[in-house]
Amino acid sequence: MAAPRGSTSTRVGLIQCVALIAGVALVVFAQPGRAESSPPSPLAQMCRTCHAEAQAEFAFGASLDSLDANTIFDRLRVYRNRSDDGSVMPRFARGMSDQTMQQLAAELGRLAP
Amino acid sequence: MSITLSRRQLLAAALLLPASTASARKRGPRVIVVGAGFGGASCARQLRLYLPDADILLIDRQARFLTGPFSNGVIAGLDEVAMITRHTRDVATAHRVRVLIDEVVTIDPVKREVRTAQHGVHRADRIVVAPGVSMRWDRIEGLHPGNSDAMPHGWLGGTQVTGLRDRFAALADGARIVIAAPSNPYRCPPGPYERVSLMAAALQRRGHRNSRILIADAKDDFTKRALFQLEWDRRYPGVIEWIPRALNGEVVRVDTQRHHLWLRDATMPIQADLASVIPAQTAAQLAIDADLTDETQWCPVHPQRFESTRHAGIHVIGDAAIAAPMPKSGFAANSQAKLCAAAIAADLLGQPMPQAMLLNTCYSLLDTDAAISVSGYYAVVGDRLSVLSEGISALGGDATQRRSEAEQARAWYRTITRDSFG
Repeated sequence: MAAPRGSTSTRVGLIQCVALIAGVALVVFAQPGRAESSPPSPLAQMCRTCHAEAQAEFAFGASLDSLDANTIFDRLRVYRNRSDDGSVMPRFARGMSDQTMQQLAAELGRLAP
Repeated sequence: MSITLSRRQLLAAALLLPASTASARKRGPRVIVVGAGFGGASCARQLRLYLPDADILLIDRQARFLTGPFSNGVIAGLDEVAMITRHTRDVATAHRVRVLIDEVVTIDPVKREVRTAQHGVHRADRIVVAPGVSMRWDRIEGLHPGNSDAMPHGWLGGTQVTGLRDRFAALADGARIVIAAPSNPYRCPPGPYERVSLMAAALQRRGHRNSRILIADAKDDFTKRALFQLEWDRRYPGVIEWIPRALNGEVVRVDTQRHHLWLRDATMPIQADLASVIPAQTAAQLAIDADLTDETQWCPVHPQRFESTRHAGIHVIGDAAIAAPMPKSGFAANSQAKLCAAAIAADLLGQPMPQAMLLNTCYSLLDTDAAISVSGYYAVVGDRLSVLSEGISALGGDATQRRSEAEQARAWYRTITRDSFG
Protein backbone atom coordinates (compact mmCIF):
# COMPACT_ATOMS: atom_id res chain seq x y z
CA MET A 1 0.00 0.00 0.00
CA ALA A 2 1.34 3.37 -0.92
CA ALA A 3 2.17 5.62 1.91
CA PRO A 4 0.08 8.74 2.17
CA ARG A 5 1.70 11.75 0.69
CA GLY A 6 3.88 13.63 3.12
CA SER A 7 3.96 10.93 5.85
CA THR A 8 7.74 10.39 5.68
CA SER A 9 8.46 14.04 6.10
CA THR A 10 5.97 14.16 8.98
CA ARG A 11 7.83 11.34 10.74
CA VAL A 12 11.08 13.23 10.37
CA GLY A 13 9.36 16.35 11.66
CA LEU A 14 8.00 14.39 14.60
CA ILE A 15 11.49 13.30 15.63
CA GLN A 16 12.76 16.84 15.27
CA CYS A 17 9.90 18.20 17.31
CA VAL A 18 10.31 15.62 20.05
CA ALA A 19 13.95 16.66 20.26
CA LEU A 20 12.91 20.29 20.29
CA ILE A 21 10.34 19.67 23.02
CA ALA A 22 12.91 17.80 25.11
CA GLY A 23 15.39 20.61 24.64
CA VAL A 24 12.88 23.25 25.61
CA ALA A 25 11.84 21.22 28.65
CA LEU A 26 15.47 20.96 29.73
CA VAL A 27 15.90 24.72 29.45
CA VAL A 28 12.66 25.38 31.33
CA PHE A 29 13.29 22.99 34.20
CA ALA A 30 17.04 23.27 34.58
CA GLN A 31 17.03 26.67 36.24
CA PRO A 32 20.08 27.75 38.17
CA GLY A 33 19.89 26.83 41.82
CA ARG A 34 16.89 24.60 41.40
CA ALA A 35 18.56 21.33 42.31
CA GLU A 36 21.69 22.27 44.16
CA SER A 37 20.30 24.73 46.70
CA SER A 38 17.61 22.85 48.53
CA PRO A 39 16.33 24.76 51.58
CA PRO A 40 17.63 23.83 55.03
CA SER A 41 15.85 21.10 56.98
CA PRO A 42 13.15 22.08 59.49
CA LEU A 43 15.51 21.63 62.45
CA ALA A 44 18.14 23.83 60.81
CA GLN A 45 15.43 26.39 60.11
CA MET A 46 14.50 26.33 63.79
CA CYS A 47 18.13 27.06 64.71
CA ARG A 48 18.21 29.90 62.20
CA THR A 49 15.11 31.49 63.67
CA CYS A 50 17.42 32.96 66.32
CA HIS A 51 20.87 32.46 64.84
CA ALA A 52 20.79 33.54 61.19
CA GLU A 53 22.81 36.50 60.00
CA ALA A 54 19.62 38.29 59.08
CA GLN A 55 18.57 38.05 62.73
CA ALA A 56 21.97 39.09 64.13
CA GLU A 57 21.00 42.61 65.11
CA PHE A 58 17.94 41.29 66.96
CA ALA A 59 19.33 38.12 68.48
CA PHE A 60 20.91 37.27 71.79
CA GLY A 61 23.05 34.44 70.44
CA ALA A 62 25.69 34.31 67.74
CA SER A 63 24.98 34.09 64.04
CA LEU A 64 25.68 30.63 62.66
CA ASP A 65 26.16 31.86 59.13
CA SER A 66 29.84 32.64 59.59
CA LEU A 67 30.73 29.34 61.29
CA ASP A 68 31.98 26.25 59.50
CA ALA A 69 30.59 22.77 60.15
CA ASN A 70 33.43 21.68 62.44
CA THR A 71 33.04 24.72 64.67
CA ILE A 72 29.28 24.23 64.92
CA PHE A 73 29.71 20.54 65.71
CA ASP A 74 32.32 21.31 68.40
CA ARG A 75 30.08 23.92 70.00
CA LEU A 76 27.11 21.57 70.04
CA ARG A 77 29.22 18.93 71.79
CA VAL A 78 30.36 21.47 74.37
CA TYR A 79 26.72 22.38 75.02
CA ARG A 80 25.80 18.71 75.32
CA ASN A 81 28.50 18.14 77.93
CA ARG A 82 27.48 21.08 80.11
CA SER A 83 25.75 19.96 83.26
CA ASP A 84 23.95 23.22 84.07
CA ASP A 85 20.59 24.37 82.76
CA GLY A 86 21.62 28.02 82.78
CA SER A 87 20.72 28.64 79.17
CA VAL A 88 18.68 27.12 76.41
CA MET A 89 21.31 25.45 74.22
CA PRO A 90 22.50 22.75 76.66
CA ARG A 91 18.87 21.66 77.12
CA PHE A 92 18.51 21.13 73.37
CA ALA A 93 21.94 19.61 72.80
CA ARG A 94 21.65 16.98 75.52
CA GLY A 95 19.14 15.04 73.44
CA MET A 96 21.12 15.16 70.21
CA SER A 97 23.11 12.17 69.00
CA ASP A 98 26.49 12.62 67.33
CA GLN A 99 24.82 11.80 64.05
CA THR A 100 22.16 14.47 64.46
CA MET A 101 24.79 17.02 65.45
CA GLN A 102 26.95 16.12 62.46
CA GLN A 103 24.03 16.40 60.04
CA LEU A 104 22.92 19.69 61.56
CA ALA A 105 26.44 21.12 61.63
CA ALA A 106 27.09 20.07 58.05
CA GLU A 107 23.88 21.66 56.90
CA LEU A 108 24.38 24.90 58.80
CA GLY A 109 28.07 24.97 57.91
CA ARG A 110 27.25 24.97 54.19
CA LEU A 111 25.75 28.41 54.71
CA ALA A 112 29.11 29.84 55.76
CA PRO A 113 30.54 32.25 53.19
CA MET B 1 -3.14 4.14 16.96
CA SER B 2 -1.38 6.65 14.82
CA ILE B 3 -1.39 10.37 15.22
CA THR B 4 -1.29 12.46 12.13
CA LEU B 5 -0.01 15.94 12.66
CA SER B 6 1.16 18.40 10.16
CA ARG B 7 4.58 19.86 10.53
CA ARG B 8 2.96 23.22 11.29
CA GLN B 9 0.92 21.70 14.13
CA LEU B 10 3.99 20.03 15.61
CA LEU B 11 5.96 23.24 15.42
CA ALA B 12 3.12 25.15 17.03
CA ALA B 13 2.95 22.58 19.83
CA ALA B 14 6.67 22.86 20.41
CA LEU B 15 6.53 26.63 20.54
CA LEU B 16 3.59 26.58 22.91
CA LEU B 17 5.34 24.23 25.32
CA PRO B 18 7.46 26.79 27.15
CA ALA B 19 4.46 29.00 27.76
CA SER B 20 2.20 26.18 28.94
CA THR B 21 4.90 24.64 31.14
CA ALA B 22 5.74 27.98 32.60
CA SER B 23 2.06 28.56 33.21
CA ALA B 24 1.74 25.21 35.01
CA ARG B 25 4.82 25.90 37.07
CA LYS B 26 3.56 29.37 37.83
CA ARG B 27 0.23 27.92 38.89
CA GLY B 28 1.95 25.23 40.99
CA PRO B 29 0.23 23.62 43.93
CA ARG B 30 -2.30 25.66 45.86
CA VAL B 31 -1.97 25.79 49.64
CA ILE B 32 -4.29 27.73 51.91
CA VAL B 33 -3.19 28.64 55.41
CA VAL B 34 -5.98 29.59 57.80
CA GLY B 35 -4.81 31.80 60.66
CA ALA B 36 -1.93 34.28 60.60
CA GLY B 37 -0.55 33.81 64.11
CA PHE B 38 2.86 32.37 64.93
CA GLY B 39 1.96 29.01 63.37
CA GLY B 40 0.11 30.15 60.26
CA ALA B 41 2.35 33.05 59.29
CA SER B 42 5.49 30.95 59.82
CA CYS B 43 4.04 28.13 57.77
CA ALA B 44 3.21 30.47 54.89
CA ARG B 45 6.80 31.68 54.93
CA GLN B 46 8.24 28.19 54.96
CA LEU B 47 5.91 27.02 52.21
CA ARG B 48 7.21 29.81 50.01
CA LEU B 49 10.75 28.66 50.76
CA TYR B 50 10.08 25.00 50.00
CA LEU B 51 7.59 25.55 47.17
CA PRO B 52 8.74 28.62 45.22
CA ASP B 53 6.08 28.12 42.55
CA ALA B 54 3.13 27.45 44.82
CA ASP B 55 0.09 29.66 45.13
CA ILE B 56 0.00 30.30 48.88
CA LEU B 57 -2.99 32.07 50.35
CA LEU B 58 -2.94 33.13 54.01
CA ILE B 59 -6.35 34.02 55.45
CA ASP B 60 -7.08 35.76 58.73
CA ARG B 61 -10.05 37.81 59.88
CA GLN B 62 -7.88 40.34 61.69
CA ALA B 63 -5.88 43.00 59.86
CA ARG B 64 -4.15 43.90 63.11
CA PHE B 65 -3.58 41.83 66.22
CA LEU B 66 -1.66 41.68 69.46
CA THR B 67 0.71 38.79 70.14
CA GLY B 68 0.22 36.62 73.20
CA PRO B 69 3.93 36.63 74.10
CA PHE B 70 4.78 39.82 76.00
CA SER B 71 1.11 40.77 76.36
CA ASN B 72 1.45 40.35 80.13
CA GLY B 73 4.05 43.11 80.14
CA VAL B 74 1.56 45.36 78.38
CA ILE B 75 -1.23 44.42 80.82
CA ALA B 76 1.02 45.26 83.76
CA GLY B 77 1.91 48.60 82.14
CA LEU B 78 5.57 47.66 81.78
CA ASP B 79 5.64 47.41 77.97
CA GLU B 80 4.00 49.47 75.23
CA VAL B 81 1.17 47.98 73.21
CA ALA B 82 2.98 48.96 70.01
CA MET B 83 5.63 46.38 70.87
CA ILE B 84 3.17 43.50 70.54
CA THR B 85 1.12 44.88 67.65
CA ARG B 86 1.41 43.13 64.30
CA HIS B 87 -0.27 43.74 60.94
CA THR B 88 -1.37 40.75 58.91
CA ARG B 89 -0.68 42.42 55.55
CA ASP B 90 2.99 42.79 56.47
CA VAL B 91 3.24 39.02 56.15
CA ALA B 92 2.33 39.25 52.45
CA THR B 93 5.22 41.54 51.68
CA ALA B 94 7.73 39.80 53.90
CA HIS B 95 6.98 36.26 52.83
CA ARG B 96 5.71 36.80 49.25
CA VAL B 97 2.37 35.12 49.80
CA ARG B 98 -1.17 36.27 49.12
CA VAL B 99 -3.00 37.53 52.18
CA LEU B 100 -6.75 37.77 52.52
CA ILE B 101 -8.33 39.61 55.42
CA ASP B 102 -11.66 37.86 55.75
CA GLU B 103 -13.59 35.63 58.11
CA VAL B 104 -13.34 31.93 57.37
CA VAL B 105 -16.90 30.68 57.63
CA THR B 106 -16.39 26.98 56.92
CA ILE B 107 -13.68 24.53 55.96
CA ASP B 108 -14.73 21.49 53.94
CA PRO B 109 -11.97 18.99 54.77
CA VAL B 110 -13.11 16.49 52.13
CA LYS B 111 -13.34 18.87 49.19
CA ARG B 112 -10.44 20.89 50.59
CA GLU B 113 -12.38 24.11 50.32
CA VAL B 114 -12.38 27.19 52.48
CA ARG B 115 -15.37 29.51 52.40
CA THR B 116 -14.90 33.08 53.56
CA ALA B 117 -17.56 35.62 54.40
CA GLN B 118 -16.70 38.13 51.69
CA HIS B 119 -14.79 36.21 49.04
CA GLY B 120 -16.60 32.93 48.46
CA VAL B 121 -14.99 29.52 48.13
CA HIS B 122 -11.27 28.88 47.80
CA ARG B 123 -10.00 25.44 46.76
CA ALA B 124 -6.59 24.05 47.57
CA ASP B 125 -4.37 21.01 47.21
CA ARG B 126 -3.50 21.29 50.89
CA ILE B 127 -4.98 23.31 53.74
CA VAL B 128 -3.05 24.25 56.86
CA VAL B 129 -5.31 25.16 59.76
CA ALA B 130 -3.78 27.28 62.51
CA PRO B 131 -6.85 28.79 64.15
CA GLY B 132 -5.75 28.96 67.78
CA VAL B 133 -8.13 28.35 70.64
CA SER B 134 -11.68 29.10 71.73
CA MET B 135 -12.84 29.65 75.28
CA ARG B 136 -15.09 27.13 76.99
CA TRP B 137 -17.98 29.15 78.32
CA ASP B 138 -19.72 26.14 79.87
CA ARG B 139 -17.36 25.69 82.81
CA ILE B 140 -17.94 28.78 84.93
CA GLU B 141 -21.50 29.66 85.84
CA GLY B 142 -22.38 33.26 85.08
CA LEU B 143 -19.52 33.87 82.66
CA HIS B 144 -20.17 34.19 78.94
CA PRO B 145 -18.76 36.10 75.96
CA GLY B 146 -21.20 38.93 76.54
CA ASN B 147 -19.93 39.78 80.02
CA SER B 148 -16.35 38.50 79.87
CA ASP B 149 -15.03 42.04 79.45
CA ALA B 150 -15.95 42.63 83.10
CA MET B 151 -13.48 39.93 84.12
CA PRO B 152 -11.22 40.00 81.07
CA HIS B 153 -9.07 37.04 80.21
CA GLY B 154 -6.90 39.08 77.84
CA TRP B 155 -5.86 35.78 76.33
CA LEU B 156 -6.75 36.15 72.66
CA GLY B 157 -4.92 39.32 71.76
CA GLY B 158 -8.03 41.48 71.34
CA THR B 159 -9.29 44.58 73.08
CA GLN B 160 -9.36 42.75 76.40
CA VAL B 161 -5.58 43.15 76.63
CA THR B 162 -5.76 46.93 76.68
CA GLY B 163 -8.99 46.85 78.70
CA LEU B 164 -7.30 44.79 81.40
CA ARG B 165 -4.25 47.05 81.29
CA ASP B 166 -6.38 50.16 81.82
CA ARG B 167 -8.29 48.64 84.73
CA PHE B 168 -5.11 47.40 86.37
CA ALA B 169 -3.58 50.86 86.01
CA ALA B 170 -6.58 52.41 87.77
CA LEU B 171 -6.35 50.26 90.90
CA ALA B 172 -5.64 51.93 94.22
CA ASP B 173 -3.32 50.57 96.88
CA GLY B 174 -5.02 47.84 98.88
CA ALA B 175 -6.72 46.31 95.86
CA ARG B 176 -7.52 42.61 95.69
CA ILE B 177 -6.75 41.10 92.30
CA VAL B 178 -7.94 37.62 91.38
CA ILE B 179 -6.41 35.70 88.48
CA ALA B 180 -8.38 32.56 87.63
CA ALA B 181 -6.08 30.03 85.93
CA PRO B 182 -7.62 27.32 83.73
CA SER B 183 -7.31 23.55 83.69
CA ASN B 184 -4.94 21.90 81.21
CA PRO B 185 -4.45 22.01 78.29
CA TYR B 186 -4.52 25.67 77.33
CA ARG B 187 -2.58 28.30 75.42
CA CYS B 188 0.65 29.46 77.08
CA PRO B 189 0.87 27.30 80.23
CA PRO B 190 3.08 29.71 82.24
CA GLY B 191 1.08 32.75 81.12
CA PRO B 192 -1.18 33.21 84.18
CA TYR B 193 1.82 33.03 86.51
CA GLU B 194 3.88 35.43 84.44
CA ARG B 195 0.91 37.80 84.53
CA VAL B 196 0.83 37.61 88.30
CA SER B 197 4.59 38.19 88.51
CA LEU B 198 4.52 41.27 86.32
CA MET B 199 1.47 42.69 88.08
CA ALA B 200 3.32 42.27 91.39
CA ALA B 201 6.36 44.01 89.91
CA ALA B 202 4.20 46.89 88.72
CA LEU B 203 2.47 47.22 92.10
CA GLN B 204 5.88 47.31 93.77
CA ARG B 205 6.98 50.13 91.46
CA ARG B 206 3.83 52.06 92.30
CA GLY B 207 4.48 51.61 96.00
CA HIS B 208 1.26 49.65 96.52
CA ARG B 209 2.29 47.67 99.58
CA ASN B 210 -1.20 46.63 100.57
CA SER B 211 -2.44 45.17 97.29
CA ARG B 212 -2.73 41.41 97.02
CA ILE B 213 -2.99 38.95 94.13
CA LEU B 214 -4.85 35.69 94.49
CA ILE B 215 -4.41 32.89 91.96
CA ALA B 216 -7.50 30.68 91.92
CA ASP B 217 -6.35 27.62 90.04
CA ALA B 218 -8.30 24.83 88.36
CA LYS B 219 -5.27 22.53 88.61
CA ASP B 220 -2.84 21.34 91.25
CA ASP B 221 0.42 22.11 89.54
CA PHE B 222 1.80 24.37 86.85
CA THR B 223 4.93 24.70 84.75
CA LYS B 224 7.99 26.08 86.55
CA ARG B 225 5.99 26.19 89.81
CA ALA B 226 8.95 25.79 92.17
CA LEU B 227 10.81 28.57 90.35
CA PHE B 228 7.84 30.92 90.30
CA GLN B 229 7.05 30.39 93.97
CA LEU B 230 10.66 30.80 95.04
CA GLU B 231 10.96 34.05 93.10
CA TRP B 232 7.61 35.35 94.36
CA ASP B 233 8.81 34.82 97.93
CA ARG B 234 12.09 36.58 97.15
CA ARG B 235 10.75 39.48 95.19
CA TYR B 236 7.16 40.02 96.30
CA PRO B 237 6.83 38.49 99.78
CA GLY B 238 3.27 38.21 101.01
CA VAL B 239 1.77 39.67 97.82
CA ILE B 240 0.83 36.51 95.90
CA GLU B 241 -1.29 33.61 97.14
CA TRP B 242 -1.89 30.46 95.07
CA ILE B 243 -4.89 28.23 95.77
CA PRO B 244 -4.68 24.90 93.92
CA ARG B 245 -7.65 22.85 92.84
CA ALA B 246 -7.10 20.40 95.71
CA LEU B 247 -7.83 23.26 98.09
CA ASN B 248 -10.94 24.18 96.11
CA GLY B 249 -9.13 26.85 94.12
CA GLU B 250 -11.19 26.40 90.95
CA VAL B 251 -13.55 29.26 90.12
CA VAL B 252 -16.96 27.73 89.42
CA ARG B 253 -19.26 30.76 89.41
CA VAL B 254 -19.00 34.51 88.95
CA ASP B 255 -21.20 37.57 89.27
CA THR B 256 -19.54 40.00 86.91
CA GLN B 257 -21.66 42.98 88.02
CA ARG B 258 -20.76 42.63 91.68
CA HIS B 259 -17.21 41.41 90.95
CA HIS B 260 -17.86 38.25 92.92
CA LEU B 261 -16.15 34.88 92.33
CA TRP B 262 -17.08 31.59 93.98
CA LEU B 263 -14.47 28.91 94.44
CA ARG B 264 -15.56 25.27 94.49
CA ASP B 265 -17.56 24.39 97.61
CA ALA B 266 -17.38 27.97 98.87
CA THR B 267 -20.49 29.41 100.46
CA MET B 268 -19.26 32.98 100.34
CA PRO B 269 -17.88 34.73 97.24
CA ILE B 270 -14.55 36.48 96.94
CA GLN B 271 -14.91 40.19 96.30
CA ALA B 272 -12.35 41.32 93.72
CA ASP B 273 -11.36 44.83 92.75
CA LEU B 274 -10.09 43.32 89.53
CA ALA B 275 -10.61 39.79 88.27
CA SER B 276 -9.02 38.25 85.20
CA VAL B 277 -10.78 34.97 84.54
CA ILE B 278 -9.04 32.78 81.98
CA PRO B 279 -11.53 30.06 80.99
CA ALA B 280 -10.71 26.50 80.02
CA GLN B 281 -10.07 26.16 76.32
CA THR B 282 -10.64 24.03 73.23
CA ALA B 283 -9.37 24.15 69.68
CA ALA B 284 -10.93 27.11 67.88
CA GLN B 285 -14.59 26.61 67.02
CA LEU B 286 -13.68 26.70 63.33
CA ALA B 287 -11.66 23.50 63.77
CA ILE B 288 -14.48 21.84 65.70
CA ASP B 289 -16.99 22.76 62.98
CA ALA B 290 -14.62 21.39 60.33
CA ASP B 291 -14.60 17.96 61.98
CA LEU B 292 -10.92 18.25 62.82
CA THR B 293 -11.31 17.59 66.56
CA ASP B 294 -11.81 14.40 68.54
CA GLU B 295 -13.69 13.87 71.81
CA THR B 296 -11.16 16.07 73.64
CA GLN B 297 -12.13 18.99 71.37
CA TRP B 298 -8.52 19.31 70.21
CA CYS B 299 -7.18 18.26 66.81
CA PRO B 300 -5.36 14.92 66.54
CA VAL B 301 -2.48 14.94 64.05
CA HIS B 302 0.23 12.68 62.71
CA PRO B 303 3.22 14.33 64.37
CA GLN B 304 5.53 13.40 61.50
CA ARG B 305 3.81 15.96 59.28
CA PHE B 306 1.09 17.57 61.45
CA GLU B 307 -1.55 16.23 59.11
CA SER B 308 -4.99 15.63 60.59
CA THR B 309 -5.67 12.01 61.48
CA ARG B 310 -9.28 12.67 60.55
CA HIS B 311 -8.88 14.19 57.09
CA ALA B 312 -6.01 13.66 54.65
CA GLY B 313 -4.58 16.79 53.10
CA ILE B 314 -5.59 18.97 56.03
CA HIS B 315 -2.82 19.95 58.44
CA VAL B 316 -3.31 21.44 61.89
CA ILE B 317 -0.53 23.30 63.69
CA GLY B 318 -0.18 25.48 66.76
CA ASP B 319 -2.43 25.67 69.78
CA ALA B 320 -5.33 23.76 68.21
CA ALA B 321 -3.26 20.62 67.56
CA ILE B 322 -2.71 17.77 69.99
CA ALA B 323 1.08 17.91 70.15
CA ALA B 324 1.82 16.93 73.74
CA PRO B 325 4.38 16.83 75.26
CA MET B 326 4.97 20.13 73.45
CA PRO B 327 3.19 23.00 75.18
CA LYS B 328 0.85 25.32 73.34
CA SER B 329 3.24 28.20 72.72
CA GLY B 330 4.29 30.61 69.99
CA PHE B 331 7.70 28.95 69.78
CA ALA B 332 6.09 25.49 69.45
CA ALA B 333 3.74 26.75 66.73
CA ASN B 334 6.66 28.25 64.81
CA SER B 335 8.59 24.95 65.03
CA GLN B 336 5.57 22.91 63.97
CA ALA B 337 5.03 25.27 61.04
CA LYS B 338 8.55 24.61 59.77
CA LEU B 339 8.12 20.84 59.97
CA CYS B 340 4.63 20.92 58.50
CA ALA B 341 5.65 23.06 55.52
CA ALA B 342 8.62 20.81 54.78
CA ALA B 343 6.39 17.74 54.98
CA ILE B 344 3.78 19.23 52.64
CA ALA B 345 6.48 20.17 50.15
CA ALA B 346 8.05 16.70 50.35
CA ASP B 347 4.68 15.10 49.74
CA LEU B 348 3.80 17.33 46.80
CA LEU B 349 7.25 16.96 45.23
CA GLY B 350 7.49 13.22 45.84
CA GLN B 351 10.51 13.59 48.10
CA PRO B 352 11.33 11.79 51.38
CA MET B 353 9.61 13.12 54.49
CA PRO B 354 11.78 15.39 56.66
CA GLN B 355 13.03 14.20 60.02
CA ALA B 356 10.46 15.18 62.61
CA MET B 357 12.44 17.06 65.24
CA LEU B 358 11.07 20.06 67.07
CA LEU B 359 12.24 22.69 69.55
CA ASN B 360 10.48 24.83 72.10
CA THR B 361 11.35 27.31 74.82
CA CYS B 362 8.88 29.16 77.03
CA TYR B 363 10.33 32.23 78.73
CA SER B 364 8.47 33.81 81.62
CA LEU B 365 9.27 37.25 82.93
CA LEU B 366 9.35 37.73 86.69
CA ASP B 367 10.08 41.43 86.27
CA THR B 368 11.29 43.52 83.37
CA ASP B 369 14.88 42.46 84.08
CA ALA B 370 14.40 38.89 85.31
CA ALA B 371 13.12 35.76 83.62
CA ILE B 372 13.04 31.99 83.86
CA SER B 373 12.52 29.45 81.11
CA VAL B 374 11.81 25.86 80.21
CA SER B 375 12.96 24.20 76.98
CA GLY B 376 12.42 20.93 75.20
CA TYR B 377 13.80 19.05 72.19
CA TYR B 378 11.30 16.63 70.69
CA ALA B 379 11.21 13.95 68.02
CA VAL B 380 8.75 11.43 66.70
CA VAL B 381 9.52 8.02 68.16
CA GLY B 382 7.32 5.32 66.68
CA ASP B 383 4.23 7.34 65.89
CA ARG B 384 4.36 9.57 68.96
CA LEU B 385 6.01 12.85 69.75
CA SER B 386 8.52 12.32 72.56
CA VAL B 387 10.88 14.44 74.64
CA LEU B 388 14.52 13.78 73.77
CA SER B 389 15.85 16.33 76.25
CA GLU B 390 14.51 19.17 78.30
CA GLY B 391 15.56 21.58 80.99
CA ILE B 392 14.50 24.42 83.19
CA SER B 393 16.24 27.42 84.73
CA ALA B 394 18.24 26.60 87.84
CA LEU B 395 16.30 26.94 91.06
CA GLY B 396 19.33 28.55 92.65
CA GLY B 397 19.92 30.96 89.79
CA ASP B 398 21.22 34.37 90.83
CA ALA B 399 20.21 37.84 89.67
CA THR B 400 22.75 37.77 86.86
CA GLN B 401 21.28 34.57 85.43
CA ARG B 402 17.74 35.89 85.72
CA ARG B 403 18.79 39.11 83.99
CA SER B 404 20.50 37.17 81.24
CA GLU B 405 17.34 35.14 80.66
CA ALA B 406 15.27 38.34 80.49
CA GLU B 407 17.61 39.59 77.76
CA GLN B 408 17.30 36.25 75.98
CA ALA B 409 13.51 36.43 76.26
CA ARG B 410 13.39 39.86 74.61
CA ALA B 411 15.86 38.79 71.93
CA TRP B 412 13.79 35.66 71.30
CA TYR B 413 10.65 37.78 70.93
CA ARG B 414 12.36 40.05 68.39
CA THR B 415 13.66 37.15 66.32
CA ILE B 416 10.59 34.95 66.41
CA THR B 417 8.24 37.79 65.49
CA ARG B 418 10.54 38.80 62.66
CA ASP B 419 10.79 35.19 61.51
CA SER B 420 7.02 34.69 61.69
CA PHE B 421 5.59 38.03 60.58
CA GLY B 422 8.44 39.75 58.77
